[in-house]
Amino acid sequence: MNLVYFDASAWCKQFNTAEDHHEDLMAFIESCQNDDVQMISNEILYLEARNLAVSVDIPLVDVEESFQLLSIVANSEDLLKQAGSRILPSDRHRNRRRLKALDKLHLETAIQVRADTFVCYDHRLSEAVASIGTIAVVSPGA
Amino acid sequence: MSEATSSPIPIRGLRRDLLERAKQKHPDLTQGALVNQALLLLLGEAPDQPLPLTITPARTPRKNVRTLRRVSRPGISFEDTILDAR
Repeated sequence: MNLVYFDASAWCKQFNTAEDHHEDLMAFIESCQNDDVQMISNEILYLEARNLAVSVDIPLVDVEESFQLLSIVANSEDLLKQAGSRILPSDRHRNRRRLKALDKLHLETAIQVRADTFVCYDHRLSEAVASIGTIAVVSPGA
Repeated sequence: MSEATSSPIPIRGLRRDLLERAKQKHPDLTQGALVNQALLLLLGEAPDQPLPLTITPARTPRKNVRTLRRVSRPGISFEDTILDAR
């Protein structure tokens, strides 16, 4: 079974029909379901998606219902340590191009579960995933 | 002694033996990705065994995603809202 990892920012594009690439993302999620693909993310998605719901005033219950589609990886001390200490090509930059901590946590989780595909629209995170070399990056519609 | 057989020889700060180990573990990687893996080996942070993980399986993986309620918020990028919060 293929394993498709969703970054929280990509997953949450589905909630706004006016969002760029919304329909492409919906179709991609449906194709994952039809192809017996396991969709997965880190539990930090719970925090990020709920924080989004509060920020843009959408019902939490609707966001939480989407969590039922995902397998969720719990954080552990080892996972957090590994995410923080992994050196990436972007770490040589001293500016905003560096990967942020939560981005690194999503990336490390995808590596550890041996994800086949990483769904992401953020250019910086996409580059970091690609630099690992073992995970395909997809941005449906982009 | 040729450069190819002498080891370790720094390659822009990287030891050739680490690069070779990375290449053996991941023969399909690009050169840039190999350098990244070699750096991890140098720091002893590229575990051969994956970390133990606790994964909660999806509760309703076959749920029709179209039945989930959506909103329309033109001018607001939910993706950017999350990225900004990081």
